[in-house]
Amino acid sequence: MGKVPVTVLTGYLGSGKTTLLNRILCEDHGKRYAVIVNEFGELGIDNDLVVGADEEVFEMNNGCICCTVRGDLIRIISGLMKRIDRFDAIIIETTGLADPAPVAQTFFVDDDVRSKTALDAVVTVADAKHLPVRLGDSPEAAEQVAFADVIILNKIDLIDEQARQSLVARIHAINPYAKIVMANHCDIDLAEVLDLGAFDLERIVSLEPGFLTEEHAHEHDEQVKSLSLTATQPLLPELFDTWISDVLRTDGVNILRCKGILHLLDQPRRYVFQSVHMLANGIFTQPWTNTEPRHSRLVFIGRDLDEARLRAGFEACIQKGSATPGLS
Amino acid sequence: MSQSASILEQLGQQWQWSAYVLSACFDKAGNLAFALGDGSVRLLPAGADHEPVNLQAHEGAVLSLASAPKTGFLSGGDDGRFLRIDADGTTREIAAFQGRWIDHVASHANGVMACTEGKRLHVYAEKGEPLVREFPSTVGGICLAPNGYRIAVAHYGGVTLCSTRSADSTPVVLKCPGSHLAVTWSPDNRFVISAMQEACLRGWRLEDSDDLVMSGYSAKVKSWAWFNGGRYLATSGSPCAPCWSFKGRKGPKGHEPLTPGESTEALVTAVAGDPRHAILAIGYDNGQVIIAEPQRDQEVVIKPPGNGAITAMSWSADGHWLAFGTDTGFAGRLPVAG
Repeated sequence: MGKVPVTVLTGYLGSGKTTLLNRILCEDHGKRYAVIVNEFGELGIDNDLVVGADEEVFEMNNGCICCTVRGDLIRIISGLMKRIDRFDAIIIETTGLADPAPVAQTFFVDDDVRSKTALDAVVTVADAKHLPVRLGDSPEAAEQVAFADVIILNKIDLIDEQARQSLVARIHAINPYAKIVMANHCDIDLAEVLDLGAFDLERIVSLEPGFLTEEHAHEHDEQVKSLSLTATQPLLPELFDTWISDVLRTDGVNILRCKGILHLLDQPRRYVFQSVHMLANGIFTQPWTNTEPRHSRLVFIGRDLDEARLRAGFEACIQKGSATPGLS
Repeated sequence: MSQSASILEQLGQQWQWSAYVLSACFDKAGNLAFALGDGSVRLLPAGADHEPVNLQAHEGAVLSLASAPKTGFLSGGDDGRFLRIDADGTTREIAAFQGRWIDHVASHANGVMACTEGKRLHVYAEKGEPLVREFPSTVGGICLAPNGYRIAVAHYGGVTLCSTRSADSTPVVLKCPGSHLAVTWSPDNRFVISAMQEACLRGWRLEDSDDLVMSGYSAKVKSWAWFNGGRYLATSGSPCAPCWSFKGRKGPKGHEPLTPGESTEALVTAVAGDPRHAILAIGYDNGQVIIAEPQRDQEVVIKPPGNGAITAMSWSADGHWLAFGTDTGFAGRLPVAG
């Protein structure tokens, strides 16, 4: 039996989140959803399996200060698993004020949740007109963007082309691998938000940094920003492992997310890595083909990233004096 | 491998239903009930050998099942209803909480019945108004004291012991950081033990609040059973069934647990023990069920692997019957003592 996919849908009130949710529930795609809502009864949701969540954020006693989980989600999901024949997928609705990290971390930390479900993607619905203001005045808005796999810029017709470009550049400076979808009334193709496998390491095949990311990363003085590191020479696995563990242990509070596709020395396959704060996992996936360049790319999204130190640490993982990675 | 019939097939009965079996429970008269994820409760009166009677008790899933004060059962569902179900299927609604889930139910022979929905505990006595208490977080589990005068409530940050008779009495708070998911009271009334999100047990000796930690589990402890006259607490959550001794004054402090049922390929997911004797039933995530005598290192397979993970298990109060169920809807009942 496959794992039940879970989509996390975030966004402020009025962003169009409920419109999107109802579209997902009503469209004729043959899938039945269980919906976990933040405030039961507040929203007009057209579904027969709606559960109210209490947004209880718990600390785990695992020596990791930023390791928080949503206790209510653990309880609700294990309850839903007792009638698993009644739905095919789960949607978790959270408000724009909620920290997305505990929701995502729940899917890494809890064995019961992890064995039965898989986080598919974090989808953030934002009001295109209001998002720039929010990014300026609320740290939660930047976190929502930082955690998103897909950002729906809703009510896009309310802003002009120049404002659109500037907003896209700003989002990419925070989160270079978020997919941005422009919409009005959330009139998007649902394939853009469902069944993405954004947390499925097997399905992460490339990490293309966003448009002009590196050059424009400092254009806005964002609290949350991204840092993209690349290497054209293979990394030594033990050095990388030691370094990244150390980075996440010491800076995991500030590093919201990290994703990487790495070429490790003497490994014919890609090593794909991701983390949410201090919680990390990595696996070997597809082999490199003979024609593609074997480059490593690692992207950090976080607050107050010490770029020079991260870059130096990453570069120290490269095998010294190695020849150009060859087509062996 | 021989294809000979298992002990369950030879001596017991087995059924295949279409939903997750989340609980099996005997009442004090030996009547048996199974609670299922499709909202049904399957009832088998004591001594009967027919197919259990299918009662569609709840609209969504049943979330909790317990024996009622004298005979019969209590159930709670994700339809928000708290029900009393007699062995013949007669059902009365004790309370309904629209839009809420009834996560836990419990009762005592003295007539006290309790349920929780979210952060709130509701206690119903034979007479008088129900008592309601709210906790700072969702209730993880409840357990009535052996004398029925107090109820232990597990929640985030510890366990609270409250009176079942008065809303005014000051509760005893047993603090321990982290999320507590279940609680049990030792039959001799001396210890309260909780199971935590972090795959360990915490405990308190009530006379002086001396605390205990029982760790080393590979998964959360979701099933436990006092057996052999309350001398041992058997637990799930490991490739064996650790049994902690509570014979001494200090409980298991300084003692290694007995480790019956060691397996190389499966995790123990359910346990049930003979109330009086040192005999234990152990169910695994691969569907196998064994009966073990931990002190003699004797083990007998009564059901081979298959039919899903064992999710529910219960031993009747008179010691004569064992019942269990799996996450794929398989269930069985076996006579276990003469």
